Amino acid sequence: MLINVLSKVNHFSLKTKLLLSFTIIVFSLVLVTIYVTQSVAVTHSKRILQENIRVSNVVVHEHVNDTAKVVHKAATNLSSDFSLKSLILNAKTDSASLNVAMNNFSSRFNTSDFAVLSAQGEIIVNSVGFSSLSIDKLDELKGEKGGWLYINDSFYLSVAVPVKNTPLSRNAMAYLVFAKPIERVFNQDLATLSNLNVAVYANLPNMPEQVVSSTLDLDFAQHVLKRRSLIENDLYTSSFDQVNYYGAIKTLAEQPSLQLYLMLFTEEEKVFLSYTALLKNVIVLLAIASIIALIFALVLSQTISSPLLKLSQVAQKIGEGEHSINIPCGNTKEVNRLADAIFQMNYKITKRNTEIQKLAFVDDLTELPNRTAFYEFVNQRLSESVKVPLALILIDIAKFTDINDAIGYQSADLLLNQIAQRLAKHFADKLMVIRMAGNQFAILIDNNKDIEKTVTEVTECLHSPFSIDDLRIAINQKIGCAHIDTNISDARSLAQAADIALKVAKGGYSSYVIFDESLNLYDSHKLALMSELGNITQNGQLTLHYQPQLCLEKNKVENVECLARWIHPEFGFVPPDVFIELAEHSGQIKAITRFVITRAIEQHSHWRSLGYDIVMAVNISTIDLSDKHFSEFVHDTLIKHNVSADKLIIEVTESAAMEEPELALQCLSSLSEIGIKLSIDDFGTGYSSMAQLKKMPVNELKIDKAFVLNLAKDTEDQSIVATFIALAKNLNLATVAEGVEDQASLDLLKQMGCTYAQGYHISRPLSENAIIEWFKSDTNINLVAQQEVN
Amino acid sequence: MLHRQSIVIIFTFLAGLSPIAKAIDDQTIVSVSDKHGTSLANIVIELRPVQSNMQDREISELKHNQPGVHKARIEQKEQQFTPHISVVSIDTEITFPNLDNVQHHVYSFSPAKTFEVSLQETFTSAPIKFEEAGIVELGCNIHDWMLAYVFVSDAPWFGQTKSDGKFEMNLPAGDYEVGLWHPRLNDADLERKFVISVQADSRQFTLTLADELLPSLSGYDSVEAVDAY
Repeated sequence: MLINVLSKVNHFSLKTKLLLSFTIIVFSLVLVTIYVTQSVAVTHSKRILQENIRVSNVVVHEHVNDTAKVVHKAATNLSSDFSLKSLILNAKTDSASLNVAMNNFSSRFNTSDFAVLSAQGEIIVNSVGFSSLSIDKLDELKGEKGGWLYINDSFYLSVAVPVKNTPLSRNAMAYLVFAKPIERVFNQDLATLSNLNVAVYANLPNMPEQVVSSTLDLDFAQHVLKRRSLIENDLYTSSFDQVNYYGAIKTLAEQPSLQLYLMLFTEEEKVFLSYTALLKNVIVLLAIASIIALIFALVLSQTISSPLLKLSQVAQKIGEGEHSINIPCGNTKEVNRLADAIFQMNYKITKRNTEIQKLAFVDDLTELPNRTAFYEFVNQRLSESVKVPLALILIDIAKFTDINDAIGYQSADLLLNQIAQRLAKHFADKLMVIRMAGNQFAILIDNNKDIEKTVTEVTECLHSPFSIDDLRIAINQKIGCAHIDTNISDARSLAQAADIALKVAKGGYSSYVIFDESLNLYDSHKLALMSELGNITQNGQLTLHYQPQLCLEKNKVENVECLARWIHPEFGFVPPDVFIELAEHSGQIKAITRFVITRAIEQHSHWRSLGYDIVMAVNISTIDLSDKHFSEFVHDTLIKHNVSADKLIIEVTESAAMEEPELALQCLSSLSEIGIKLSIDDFGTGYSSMAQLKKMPVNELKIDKAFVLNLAKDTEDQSIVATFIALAKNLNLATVAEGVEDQASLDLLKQMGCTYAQGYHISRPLSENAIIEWFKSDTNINLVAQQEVN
Repeated sequence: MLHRQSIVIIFTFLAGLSPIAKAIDDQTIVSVSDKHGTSLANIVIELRPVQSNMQDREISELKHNQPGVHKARIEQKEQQFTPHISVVSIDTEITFPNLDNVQHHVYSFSPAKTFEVSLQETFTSAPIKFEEAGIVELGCNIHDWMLAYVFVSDAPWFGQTKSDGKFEMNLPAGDYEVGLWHPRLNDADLERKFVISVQADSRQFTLTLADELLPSLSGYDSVEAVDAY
């Protein structure tokens, strides 16, 4: 039960538990002690009482016997007295002398009564009241202890001795009897000798028990006697006048003629006095013990709980991340062990924290701080002061994938390491040199006015080539810069801004870009669009516009370039170069290309049913070139819509074709095998290898609008375009001039022998409906041959 | 210390006894023994003829206890009475010589004879005459341990067993009632009457006690009861 109680107090504090336990223990002790004391005390008291009774009984008997013996001895001496014998012999004639003598002896022996009897039993002389003494009773009175006599309603302790002729005579010549009344036997001396009250009662025939003598008042003793009741063994209890008495009955005399009994008794409080007093003492002692125990419990709990409390506070501090803490010592082994465990825990946590921090904040390869460290550092600095003009120079090692492929991962890692070491060494005076990503490093400086200076230093620093395993490797880099200002107020924004600037730089010709807000807006816009790209082929937001291409020789529109248009319900028109780039990054470009090709073929089919025979030119991305099933898809779509392969022109940008020449060649070859015409878009802007170009199954070159827009005025452009056209003719390729915006340019192109012209001068890209109208308004549209229509 | 030799019972026979003794030659022997067969000395024996069997004349002539004044002597010697038990006939005068050199005070409260004599050292008082038959206990008021018995007999024949437990006496033939007395005998034996029939050819009798002897009260008895036998 105790355990149950204790287990239910789990939510109590140690102090409370200890107090509770101590209280329960002390309380149990009190109960047990009281119970034991009570039972022991009662038993003990009874035993003491019985012992007292035994002793008192002996004392009373001894007293009676001694009294009798004294008289007996005196009487025996007297019985040998010669003169007494003479008086007895002469009593027949002179009884008076004997009577006087006996009176004298009686008072000398301190007895009250006497009698002298002849050997035959006749009374010779007697004291008053003893005349009725009969010789029958004499036998009960012989012996040194005498005996009891009942005469005239009174009890006497009596002694009878024989008087003999000579001391050695066998027979008595007379008997002397001396008697002492019982009240003089049970006198005050006896009361002081005996611990107990003494009462003597007689059991006479045909009479109730009658107290005949007592050390106390006779009536009182009579009451006690009358009300007695047996409790155990020979113990009696009695009560009178609201007082309880305990005692016992003992035999005083058992003579043939009478029986006398002793009642030895005492007040209850004398018997159990010690018990009640003891109980009181025990309770007081236990109360004191309880208080001491409670104080001890308090002190003990204090000594245990206060170090525990301190330890728990320490543990809490450790939990909050404080590590340089003094672990308090306890004053018990267990608490010390706990303190030690907490100390160990703290030490290990600190150690592990350092390791984790290192892992978290340091780049494994270069041992430069990583992006996280950068965030931590910048945020820390910014939290100290918002107005620190921190600036980040983000360096991207260009074409690192190529380098990786060329020299292998291990060497590439060495290269990165060397770059890191060089930057770290060179920019040791800056705030931080960071490895931001695989091939991106960054330098954090604390003054935004030093950006351009730092960029120059970076360029110079990385200019000289690196040596890896006897290889000398030169690297190029693009740099994006950003600094803290009103809109860029934290580390993440700073890194993002630098990243955007870097992207812009990568997209352009300049080696570095410093971020401004316009870049940021553009970028966020893009991100929003990217998330919706997946749906535009299904939700009708992506449509095709068509820009006619005029055949200069025939002055007839035979081809249209199919241009994807994304009208966003919220942002409106999204420029193709924007969403195409997004689609390339997000992998949506394949779906978009397939959508465009399908729509173009369907449109061709539709237009043919209307009587127009238009060749559809469709742009594809570099990524489509790596799609092994692309040509198969195009072929299937053509067959599905019953469209001849020569009605489709696939345009590939010059840079796309040259970037992955092997893949491009493979893809383009299979398209060409189907019978599809291929066109090189944006020709003149990239670094076309004529050798590559020659290998490709290309049918057409599209001269980039950069050369065409000012063709009428710019003689340089004129010679370039003329050269291109001549080159194409030599290679037996058709040419398409983009960006024709005036008649003069058109005339020039016609004159140069260009095959097709495309541009606002002819028509801007038109929607499906608009171009039908345009077809109808212009007679120079290539019509389906009559026989084909049928 | 007691001496058998000193136990002298003086029977003073008067003249005229001899012819009777002559007339009956043979002695009658009465032995007394306890129930275990041990002979007992110093037992007082009284013999009274059964009347019908004997002539009064015979008794008066032959009886042991003849009328007249007889004399006896009980000494105080070494603070003891000597002899311890005396058997005398009525009217015997006993003298109490004090042979010690200390005083004695001889007395008796017995009903048969009450007297007292104060005896200076080495002094013999006037004789005391015992007129009544009975047993007289003598004591000394100065020496409690001193005790003597005087058996005053009125029987025709009386005496004490000797150290061999035998009592010898000239008795005419006839039937006798025999009484025994000794302080150590029980009442039953004291009150018992033995009857013996003395004939010419039947003169030896053994009387056996019915009860044990009472315990000894004094040094005398051990001498009498044990040393003698």
